[in-house]
Amino acid sequence: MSNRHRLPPSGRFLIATLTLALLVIGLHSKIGRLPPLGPLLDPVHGVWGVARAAVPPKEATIEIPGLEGPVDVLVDSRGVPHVFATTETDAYRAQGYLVARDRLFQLDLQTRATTGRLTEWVGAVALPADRTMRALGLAEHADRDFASLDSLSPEARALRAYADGVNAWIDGLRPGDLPLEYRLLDVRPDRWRPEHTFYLLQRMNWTLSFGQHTLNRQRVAAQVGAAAADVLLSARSPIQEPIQPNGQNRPRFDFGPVPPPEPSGQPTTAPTARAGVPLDAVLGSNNWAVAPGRTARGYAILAGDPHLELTLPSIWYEIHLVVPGRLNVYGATIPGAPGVVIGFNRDVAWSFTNTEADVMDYYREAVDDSVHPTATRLDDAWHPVTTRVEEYRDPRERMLAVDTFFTARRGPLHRIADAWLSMRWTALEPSRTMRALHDGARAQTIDQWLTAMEQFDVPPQNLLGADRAGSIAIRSTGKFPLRPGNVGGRIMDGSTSRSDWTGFWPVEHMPAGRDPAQGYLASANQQPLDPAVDSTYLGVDWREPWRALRINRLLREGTAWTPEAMARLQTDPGSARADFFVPFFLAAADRLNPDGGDRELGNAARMLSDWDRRYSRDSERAILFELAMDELASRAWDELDGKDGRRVYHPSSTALAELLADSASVWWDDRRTPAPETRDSILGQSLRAAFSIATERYGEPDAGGWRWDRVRTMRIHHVLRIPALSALAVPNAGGTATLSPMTASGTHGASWRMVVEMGPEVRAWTTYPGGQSANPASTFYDDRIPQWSAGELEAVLLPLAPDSLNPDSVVARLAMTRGR
Amino acid sequence: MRILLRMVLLSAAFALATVVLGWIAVPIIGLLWGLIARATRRPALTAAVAALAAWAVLLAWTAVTGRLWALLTRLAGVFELPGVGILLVTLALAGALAGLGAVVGSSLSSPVRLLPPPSASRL
Repeated sequence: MSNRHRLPPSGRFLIATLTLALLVIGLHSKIGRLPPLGPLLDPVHGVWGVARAAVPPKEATIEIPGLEGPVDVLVDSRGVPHVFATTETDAYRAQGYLVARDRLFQLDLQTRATTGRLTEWVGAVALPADRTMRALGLAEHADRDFASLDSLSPEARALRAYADGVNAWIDGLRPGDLPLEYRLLDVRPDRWRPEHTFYLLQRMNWTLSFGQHTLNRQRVAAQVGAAAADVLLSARSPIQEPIQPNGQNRPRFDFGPVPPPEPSGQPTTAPTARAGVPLDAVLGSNNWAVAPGRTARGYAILAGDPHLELTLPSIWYEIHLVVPGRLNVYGATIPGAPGVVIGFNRDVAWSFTNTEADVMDYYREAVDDSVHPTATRLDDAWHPVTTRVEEYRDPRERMLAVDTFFTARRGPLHRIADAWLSMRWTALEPSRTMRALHDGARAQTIDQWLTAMEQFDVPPQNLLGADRAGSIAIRSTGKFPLRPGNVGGRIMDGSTSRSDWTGFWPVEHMPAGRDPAQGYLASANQQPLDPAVDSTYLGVDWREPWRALRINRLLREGTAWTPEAMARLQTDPGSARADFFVPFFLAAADRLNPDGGDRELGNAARMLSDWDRRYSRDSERAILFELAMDELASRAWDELDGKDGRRVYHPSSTALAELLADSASVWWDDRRTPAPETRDSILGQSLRAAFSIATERYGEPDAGGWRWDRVRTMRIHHVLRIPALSALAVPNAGGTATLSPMTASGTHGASWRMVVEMGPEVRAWTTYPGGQSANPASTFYDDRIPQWSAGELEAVLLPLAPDSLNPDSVVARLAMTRGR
Repeated sequence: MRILLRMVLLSAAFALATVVLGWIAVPIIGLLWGLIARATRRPALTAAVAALAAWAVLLAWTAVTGRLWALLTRLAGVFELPGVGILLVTLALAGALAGLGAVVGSSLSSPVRLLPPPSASRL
């Protein structure tokens, strides 16, 4: 090149400097949703550190401030840490450290979700979720609850020790150790405070006990009348297989007529349903225990599988804590909670299901100012309303929104339509749940465990236990309000104290069972107490009892249960719901099509009749039934369609079962068509439509496209909903109401499965759909999903001391010592 | 041989600086190299190749001690790029930062030449 074409030095310098400056600035900045690429791609401090963190050292010595003695941690081949400490607080310190090491981002995310600060990480997309949380004031309540805790109480010490452990990990974080999600969002972890555990509890309260029964009932009453609303959202489930055994040895069907729809003409003040939760995602949980007399080896066996949203990483973390002579507990903990939530010690095993009780009421308040209330009137006295201003900011600290929230004497006060409604919810009252979990883990008999669990205030749970002496017991435990007039599900007059709760159910009144003659106890979120036995109001619109029917039926049939059989039961694909509804479809098809002239209906009926009513993975008929049920519900409840065409409420399939028992009900007429329909014609139309939809969507029957594991799979999303970090097509042998349930969204299911045999040597088997590590490069990220999908459990290791664990089963050993 | 030795030493400098200071050290070392090696042939190319080699070694170390390929598979999904593409972008980044740094450095090394020539009137 000649000199003529060469840049002069000054030009070369300027261009190179400018280009370099732009490159450095560009690499240091977020571009769109991309994090700054310079720090991200740094081979030492950047995202590549995630690959190195996926292989923790096999042997390491760690200094943790505050440790009172040495702690040995052995991580077994399933990624489960076995913590051997000399004091209980040391065990919790170590637990905090380990959970932070494996699940730091999840800890942080939960706290931010409860405090309504997600927008600071992800921007306006999280604004609705943040507003919901801040409107309820969950974090403020958690702060108050923690502040009122006796600082010398064992649970307070546990919370502080746990926080010390989490912060020891955070303080020792090298840049390369930062989890992937922080790098993608370009944020840093917050330090953990002891009260964050209470935030977690509040989040669970919101998930499990934030009922909308009252507002649902109000919407339904406005649309079809109070009489119909009382049946569609009944306080008495028409199918009775209660948790507290009622001595009937079979389910009881108390079907009555559904009152005809009579629009009230009154506008509803009920807001729309809770955002973010798809209707079909609302599931439940199972637990059951069999007494020694019905087991093969003569020991009590307990099984439990809570059904929650399935995420990666999982909501659960498996751990074993040993403090010789003080504590030896194994099970599933929620990251953020010291100890174990569901699990067992050497003497007692336990598992929970949600009670679904109504622990929330709304009150129409008399306010002094309809725009900006400062006081509410109660019995002619005015009580002040406090105001809270909440600001929402994005990651660049730009203001996204400002809300003003009001809190009245009973709780959060919101303007809904033309009314000011306050809310009283047991979750916003002082709770002893932390103490219950702490004490329960130390119980040596079922009596001690039940006593400890009396403190389990929120969220109300069906607490099931079994002990080594062979006792089994269950109790629906929590703060169950006693309402004036024994009615609930209505918006109460807030101007009088006569509307207020009169107290809470005493423990001895709570639904319970202990070593029953039937030899087993079971719960699956059904109505806990047969109203024929006790009609005290506990809730409305009870969860569909199909899983309870199936569990009870199978447990009655077996007399020599083994842990292996119990594990199989957890993924039993049989369906009491299908057993109930299929005969109605078939009988209607027979009556409508006696000569087989309607080929489409005939084919659909033949296929449904061929079905074994099991949601096996290879079933090619289950989808036909599911679609037929959707069609049936759509046609049967058309009276619940609002003026905008949207259905104001989707009644449960229990209500649909009740309606089926009344062939002459006016509800069977589909108002959207000119011709009058009957029950049979609606059933026939639904089946025929289901066949057409299935053929259109999945191809001809028996061509393979209708296979259950092709049309419905579990969708286990990453907590940030990043598809590449999710497992979005996980087969499951289950359907809408089977023991391992799966609905159309596939987002909720059995989040933890556990079977424990309480013999002289406790034996246990567990799994969950995920893995111990939140690091997506780790072998423990999602290693348990195939096993969970196949319905298999793994035997857990229960060493009494570090040396009693087979060295071949140990993948890492950490020695924790006191640090500065 | 001297060229090879120079390259190895320069790569080691890039690697060490990355370990200590992070990615931002790469253009700085490149700039210093440009200042020092202005007399050599193609200092920018040398810097780029050395930085690329340094980061390749650091990534190889990650592959040996960690689960690089498992991470690459996940990252490929997250960024909707082939895994090898992310690796190449990373290495290219090192080369670009070092090379540009060296160009700036080698230009800076003769500051007098950067100034405009004196005007005739002042003469």
